[in-house]
Amino acid sequence: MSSVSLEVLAELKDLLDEGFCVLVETFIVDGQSRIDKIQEALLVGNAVVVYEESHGLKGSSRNVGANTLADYCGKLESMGHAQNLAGAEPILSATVEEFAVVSKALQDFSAA
Amino acid sequence: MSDKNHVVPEKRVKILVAEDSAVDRMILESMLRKGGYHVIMAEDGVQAVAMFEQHNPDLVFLDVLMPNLNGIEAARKIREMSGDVFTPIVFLTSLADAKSLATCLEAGGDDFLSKPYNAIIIEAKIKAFYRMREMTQTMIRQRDQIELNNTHLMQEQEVAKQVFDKITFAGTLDLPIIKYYMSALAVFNGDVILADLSPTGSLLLLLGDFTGHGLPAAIGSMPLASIFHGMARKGFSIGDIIREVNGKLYHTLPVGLFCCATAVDLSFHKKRALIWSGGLPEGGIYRADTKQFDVIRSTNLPLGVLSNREFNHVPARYEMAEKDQLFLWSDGIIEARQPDGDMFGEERLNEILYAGSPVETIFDTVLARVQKHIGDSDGDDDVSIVALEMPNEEIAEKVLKSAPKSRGSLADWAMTLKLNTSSLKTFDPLPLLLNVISEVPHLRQSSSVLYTVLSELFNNAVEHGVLGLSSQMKSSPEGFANYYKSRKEGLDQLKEGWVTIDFEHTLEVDGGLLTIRFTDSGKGFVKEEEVTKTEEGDLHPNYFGRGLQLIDSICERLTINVPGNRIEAVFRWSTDD
Repeated sequence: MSSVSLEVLAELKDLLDEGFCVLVETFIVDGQSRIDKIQEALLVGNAVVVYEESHGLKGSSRNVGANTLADYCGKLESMGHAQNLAGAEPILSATVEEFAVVSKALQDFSAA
Repeated sequence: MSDKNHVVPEKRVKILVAEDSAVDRMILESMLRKGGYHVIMAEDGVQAVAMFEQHNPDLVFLDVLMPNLNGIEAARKIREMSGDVFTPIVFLTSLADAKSLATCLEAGGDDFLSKPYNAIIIEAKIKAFYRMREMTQTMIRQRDQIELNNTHLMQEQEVAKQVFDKITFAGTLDLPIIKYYMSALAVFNGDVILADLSPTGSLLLLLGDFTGHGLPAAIGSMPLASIFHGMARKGFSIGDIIREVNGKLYHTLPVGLFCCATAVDLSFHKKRALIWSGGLPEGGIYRADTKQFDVIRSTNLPLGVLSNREFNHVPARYEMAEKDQLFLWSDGIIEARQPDGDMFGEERLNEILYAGSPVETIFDTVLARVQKHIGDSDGDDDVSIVALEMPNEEIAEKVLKSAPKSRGSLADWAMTLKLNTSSLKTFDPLPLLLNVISEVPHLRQSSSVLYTVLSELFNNAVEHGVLGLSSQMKSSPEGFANYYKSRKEGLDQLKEGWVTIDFEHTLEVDGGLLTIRFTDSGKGFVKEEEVTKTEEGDLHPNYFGRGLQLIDSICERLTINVPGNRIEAVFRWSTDD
C-alpha cells in the first residue's frame, strides 16, 4: 500500500494550482512542528498534548491522502484521549518514519 | 480585512470558516472560493466569534478542536448572537467515533463534515442549509408581519368601539324606565342598544346583535344608529325606522353580515307596545300583577337579509299595564359559558321567568345568575339584557318632558307647484311630490297609495284637461295606441297650457289631513248632469272612469267642479293602531 493516494494529490493540485507547493510546504512545516510537540509530550507524559497534536496531524493527513500516516496518528490520538501512553513510543517512531516518506512523496509530486 | 473594501453582491452566500490547521484551512478555503462563495477565515474560536459579529455570515464551518475557544463553545456564542435568525453551524472534524459526532450535534451544531473534505458533499450541504436559512427568514418576516397586522387590527377595533360608544350614548338610555346591561369587552362585540324619545310621546328602543365582532360589526352599527336616532326624533314610526334600517343594511352590508334585532315603540298614553322582532331569542313581557311571562316570538328575518320589497316591517301590538316590564336579550345570555363550557341555557332562564317572583326582581336576578354562571372565565360572550318598564302617569310625564318637539319634520304646511308649458312637456312632478310627502312622519307609509292618487290626477289634468283627449278613445286596443300617440303629439305641439298642484296638510290628534288639488288650463270634460251635490254641498263626480273610482276608494273626499278643470282629493291618515 502506497503512503499517499495519488488520486487525492491530483485533485488537490487541480484545485490549488500554484498553491499546491505552498500546501506541501505548510504540511511539512506544520507536521514537523506537531511531531516535535508529541515527542516532548511523551517525555513528560502529557497525554492532552499527545491527543490534540496527533488529532490535528491526523486531519491534515487525511486531507492530503496520507492514510497510513493518519492511521498512526489515530492510534496516538486514542492513547492520548484514554490518558494511557504505554506503548506509544514505537508508534511515534513509525509515525516519524511515515511522515518522512509522505513528505518526500509530496515534494516529488509537487516538482513533477 | 480586504473584505470591507469591496462590495459583496447581495445574493452571494457568505460563509465563515474557523479551522486551526493551516493545511485543512487552505484546502477548504480553496474549495469554497472555487464554488463561488464569499469566504471569511478564522484560525481559532475567539476569532470566529469576532468575525461572525462583524460579517453576519449565512453559514458557519467550525473546527471542533481549536486553541483559545474550542468549536463547541464558539457555536454556543454564535447561536446566542444570531437570535431569531437561523444560522446553520457545521462542525469540521476528523473525530470518527459516533459518540463524538453526537456530542457535536448536541452542542448546537446542525451537521458535521469529516476529513478528507469532498467538494461535492460540501456543495450539497451548503445548498441544503442555505435553503433552510432562507425558509426560516421568510417565516420570521411573515411572523413579524402578522404581529404588525394584529397590532393594527386591535387599534382599529379600539377606534371602532370608541366611535360606536359615542353613537350609542347619544340616545336616552339613562331614563329611569330602562335597565340594561352590556358586557364590557375590549373590542366592539356586535351588540347594540339604542333608545330615543319620539315627539309622538313614545319611547323607541332597539336591541341589535350584529353577526361578527369588531370593525365589520361596528360598520353596520353606524348607519343603524344614525337612522334610528334621526328618524325617532322626527317622529317616524318604529315600522318606518325598521324598514329604512333594513334597506340600508341590505344594500351596504356584504352577504352574511346582518343584524338580529328587536325594536319597540312604547306609547305611554296608549299603554301599548309595538314590537318588531327579527332573529333575537324570545323576549317577553313580565306582567306586574299576574307575575307571568308572555313570550314575544321572533317572527321576522334579521335586518339586512331581505330587500325592502320582501321585508315585513309591520310590528305586533301588545297591551302593557303600568309596571309591566318588557325583557329583551341577545343570544349571549343563553350561550353564556361556565369555565368548563356549560352554557347558561334557556332552562335556567325559564326557571327565573316562571317562578312567579315580583317584577322588580327579575332583571337583577337574571343578570346575577348569568354572571355567577360565567364566573371568572373572561369568556368572549356578549351578554346584553334590556328591561323596559311601562311607567305610571307621573313618571311618564317626567320622561316625556325631555322628548323632542315636532321640529325638523313637516307638520302643518301647504305648497303650490305650477307647471307651465315647457315643464309639462318634459318634467315628471311625481318623484318631487312623493319626496315632499315622505318628509311627513307616518304619511310615508302611505306613499304607494298616494302615488296612485297623484299619478291618476296628474294624468287626468294633462290628458283630459290640457290636451282635451277623450277617454272614450281607449275603449279598443287600437284606440289605446292612438290615444298615447295623440298624447305625445299633443304635448310636442302644445303652445300654451298649465297644471297647478296644491297641497295642504294639517296635523290632527293621532294623524292628519292632506288635501291635494289639481287645476288645469283645459276646458274640462264634466257636464252638469255628471255631478251630484253631496250633503256638504260638494260636487261629487258620478262619472266614474277607472281612475277616479280608485281615487274615490282611497280618499275620504273627492270633489270636482264643472266643467271639470279642478279636482280635489282629501286623504286622511292616522297613527291610531
